[in-house]
Amino acid sequence: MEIFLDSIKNSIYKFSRNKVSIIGFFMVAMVIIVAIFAPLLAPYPKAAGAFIDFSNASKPPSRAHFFGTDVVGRDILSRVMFAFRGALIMGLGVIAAIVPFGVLVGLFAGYYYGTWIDTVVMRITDIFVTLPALLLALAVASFGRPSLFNSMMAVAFAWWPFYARLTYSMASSVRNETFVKAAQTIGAHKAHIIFKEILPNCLAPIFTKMALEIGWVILVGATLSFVGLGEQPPTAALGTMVSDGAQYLPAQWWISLFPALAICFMILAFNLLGDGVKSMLSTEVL
Amino acid sequence: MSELLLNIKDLKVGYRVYKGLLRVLNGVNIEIYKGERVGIVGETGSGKTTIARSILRILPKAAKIFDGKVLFEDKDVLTMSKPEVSLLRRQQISMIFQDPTAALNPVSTIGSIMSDVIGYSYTAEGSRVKPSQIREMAINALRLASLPAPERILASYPFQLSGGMRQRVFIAMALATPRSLVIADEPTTNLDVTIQDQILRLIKRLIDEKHTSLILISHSLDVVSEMTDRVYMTYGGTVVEQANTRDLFENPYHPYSRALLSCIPRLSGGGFGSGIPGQMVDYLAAPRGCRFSPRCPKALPVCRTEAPPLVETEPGHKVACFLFSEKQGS
Repeated sequence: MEIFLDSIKNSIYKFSRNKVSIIGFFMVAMVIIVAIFAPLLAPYPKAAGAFIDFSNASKPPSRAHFFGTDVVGRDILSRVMFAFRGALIMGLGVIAAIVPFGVLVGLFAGYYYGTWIDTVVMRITDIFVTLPALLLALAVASFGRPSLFNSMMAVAFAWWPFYARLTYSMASSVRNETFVKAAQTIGAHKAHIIFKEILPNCLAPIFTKMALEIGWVILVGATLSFVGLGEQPPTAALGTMVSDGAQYLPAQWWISLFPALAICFMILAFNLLGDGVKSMLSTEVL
Repeated sequence: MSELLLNIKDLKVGYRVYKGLLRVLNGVNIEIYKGERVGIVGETGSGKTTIARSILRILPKAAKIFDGKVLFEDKDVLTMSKPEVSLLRRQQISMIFQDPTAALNPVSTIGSIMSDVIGYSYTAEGSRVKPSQIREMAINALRLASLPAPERILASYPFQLSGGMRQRVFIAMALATPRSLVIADEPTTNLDVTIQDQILRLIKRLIDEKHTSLILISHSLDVVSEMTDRVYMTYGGTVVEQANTRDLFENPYHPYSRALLSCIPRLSGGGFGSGIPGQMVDYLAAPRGCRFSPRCPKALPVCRTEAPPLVETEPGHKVACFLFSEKQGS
């Protein structure tokens, strides 16, 4: 127990060695809090949905509307706050769905390295790698109505192979380690060897990749909503807001600029956090 | 002599590589009796580890067993089903690896590794170890291996221990539950000399206390001479000489054994031995007859064409060399 606490303290220490990652941590915390409590924190909660107030349309940033208002008079700050929700669901949801799947696939293929199982599984994985995310998203969108869920599916389809490949390369080298041989000599079964000997040795790079890629997934999600394949209006989505405002550039710059900055902010936040996680999981003594 | 535990008969093992087939083991015969300590000595690359791995069937994928039997209590390990082999590994045989650092999973605590090992094992009564007993057994095993503060060691990770401690932990694991055979594959190669001595004493003590048989694989002649009752001298995947340890060291017959023993530098001076000219066997194109014949100073024409049979020169002392089979008049 004492050692367990020690290792947590040690992790926190390593994480905080990198001062910038603390900033990242607070930025992420802020985004999450804002997203969860958007209805309470937003100055104009009604702006999140189908709301029209032409008397306030296209107002530049002011004390009443910090980020200005869009062409139908909705407060952009409030819409950005609500749009964080979709972006977070996108980033966390996709990662949470694909990591276990990709890791499992990679582990099994890696354990059976050199056999036909390895070949079949990894070539199927390669086929998925060759399909670009946007193309897949278009395909998925053409099957059903574009929605947040469908765009998440599209990104997940295109993204899991990278986790499978990472885990595969780790697992296929770890399986040759003496401790795996040693586990065999005590009569351990396959499940034990895969999950207790090989998997724990693959986790550090997987977690690092995860933490660094949440922001990247959010960006792809925003791209999809920018081309109209994500969350549909009137629900607020960062990509959609940027593309809607683009027609009014440069005169009404605030309509696209602030959602775009919000995207940058989120990605920066997750990348800084990811850096912290990376130094936390590294064994290097700083 | 007491009961036969392990009987390796005419074992031939090779490895498929890109250049062809490496014929490594070429008819190895080894007998291990209950409670006996046996050494397998030979140079690097003489097939010692391949022998050990064949016994536990943990050979790499490229390996191919051509012929032979590994009889453990009269059952052939090589033809056993997978569940039978895993039962054998859980109940009868354990192995001490050369490099304890590599053989302990770096992301698991010693406690978790040991509880896996003990959890898979069987008690002397032949039943699985109960989960409630595991911790106590682990602590006892560590204590027997002269490790201080076992509780603290259980909670630490392999990298937090020193090399000697790691090897002690490994020995503790190998002998935590009753075993009839322990295979130690160069257990002290990676340790410094003082630790080496302690580790060997420890293995010897535990083996004797538990009436277990030991196969000690080593290239170090002094380690083997101290630790074992009987020795198999291997060269190029064949057993060239076998005898009681003292007989073999005092009165070696085979030219290879003689040459090897003369290579030990003596404190009394005289410099290094003359060494053995030539190189280790090329397993891709192994000599047809005696595998030592290209380097042998006393090689006869027959040595290059026929493999020498193992002949008994004295009771219990067998040599695979034509020099002695002729002497016997056969």
